[in-house]
Amino acid sequence: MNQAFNLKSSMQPVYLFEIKSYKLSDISEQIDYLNDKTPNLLANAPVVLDLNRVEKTLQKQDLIELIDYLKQQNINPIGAQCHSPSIKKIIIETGLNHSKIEKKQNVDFLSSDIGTRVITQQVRSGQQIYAANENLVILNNVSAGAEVIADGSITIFGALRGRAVAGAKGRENTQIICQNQHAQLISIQGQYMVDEQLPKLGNACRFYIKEDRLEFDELTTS
Amino acid sequence: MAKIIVVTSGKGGVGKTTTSAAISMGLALSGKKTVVIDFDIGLRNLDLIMDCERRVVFDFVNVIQGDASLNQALIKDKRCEKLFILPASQTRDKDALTKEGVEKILNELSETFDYIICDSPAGIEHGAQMALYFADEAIVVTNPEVSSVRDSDRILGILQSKSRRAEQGSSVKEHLLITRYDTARAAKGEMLSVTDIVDILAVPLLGVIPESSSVLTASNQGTPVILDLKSNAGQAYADAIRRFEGEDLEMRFIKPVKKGILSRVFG
Repeated sequence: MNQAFNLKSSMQPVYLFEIKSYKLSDISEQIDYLNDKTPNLLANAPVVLDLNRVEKTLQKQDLIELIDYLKQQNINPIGAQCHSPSIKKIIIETGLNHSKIEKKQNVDFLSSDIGTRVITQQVRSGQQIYAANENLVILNNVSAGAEVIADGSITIFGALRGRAVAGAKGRENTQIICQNQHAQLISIQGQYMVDEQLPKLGNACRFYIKEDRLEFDELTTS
Repeated sequence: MAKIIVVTSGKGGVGKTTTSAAISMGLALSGKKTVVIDFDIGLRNLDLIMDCERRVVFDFVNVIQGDASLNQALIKDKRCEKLFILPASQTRDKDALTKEGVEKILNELSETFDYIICDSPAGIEHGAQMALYFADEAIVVTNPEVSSVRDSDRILGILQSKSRRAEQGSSVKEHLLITRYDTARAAKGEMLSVTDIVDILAVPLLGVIPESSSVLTASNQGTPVILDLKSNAGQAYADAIRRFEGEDLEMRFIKPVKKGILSRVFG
């Protein structure tokens, strides 16, 4: 038999639309904004809809309208995902694929299931430390222009003058703690803070994610 | 075995060559046989500061490429018989420096000298990396200015990761030298203070050289400023040499001078 095609496995990039509101006016406003800022980002892009946040109120007609609207905008929904069995039924009825959701890991800060890397030397400008699948503990300063990154949490006992990125691969319950905050950038699970969003310089701080937002506590001893 | 010392900074124009000239002259005057090498191939300056511009026949690159022997290229200083200068080539570029070539010359110099001072070019590219690669100790020159401090921090990182000592698992001994320090402006908060700089870089302080008109005069005359002991800058370099040799001296010229009524009137 002549082979008409080769079967290969491949990973294609697909955007996940985490729907927070299925009101078309809300969605169109944001899509117009995105098209304005980054034209072509969503042109003919295959997307998967995540419906978990709207599972309580979403009706079949809402989903049909949403899909039609997205197609008009040249966005191509190829599937949708949701935990709720009733929504799953709706998804299949509208002709979309229901894609399985991977269970998210719930991990405690500096948990024992990942290791911890300890850096004793000052991290200098231009240096980058990446603790892959580890927590990161730094016992010295992180200079301006240096970058410390961990898939777990980061604790810095010296002054933080550079950039710190925790939960770099989206791991949950990661945080950044520093004794002396002069950071250029703080990022956890893809959310970030710069400049005047950051707390007062020189304070000890703890940064963490609460309800999908990057927040901080200033740790005062008084 | 000679001790190899690199004078480096990352940023240009902060006083690396002035410092190299002063430090090498100071060490030679204290009786150590010292050679200072200009690593700034293509932008030869050290010979001007050392006033041996018209005596350069062969240079560093000629020796690396085997066109001249080391003894032919070394220039003996006229003021101090313990001091020798190995000038850079003005017509080549930094790619002429090879790790093997530099190592061979440093090994040969090591046999007869006490100190080898490597005057690094600015930047963090090949030339600067060649200058610091073989160093045992480093003098990092910084101005009280944020960009200079940032660049010094960068070069400290390179010393800690890309030097021969770092590759062998040991470390280069670091010294911080602050130059062009203006006490009055630092007191007013217009410049970084010594404390700020030491805080950011966390490196032991070798000396603070005050901003002084005698530095420019000395460069233009081809006299290392350390020979001008009437000037604050010359005295501060002399102090730095004594600290380098292990003496514990108090830092001078870091507090603003209170002007008396007479000097205020007569300027």
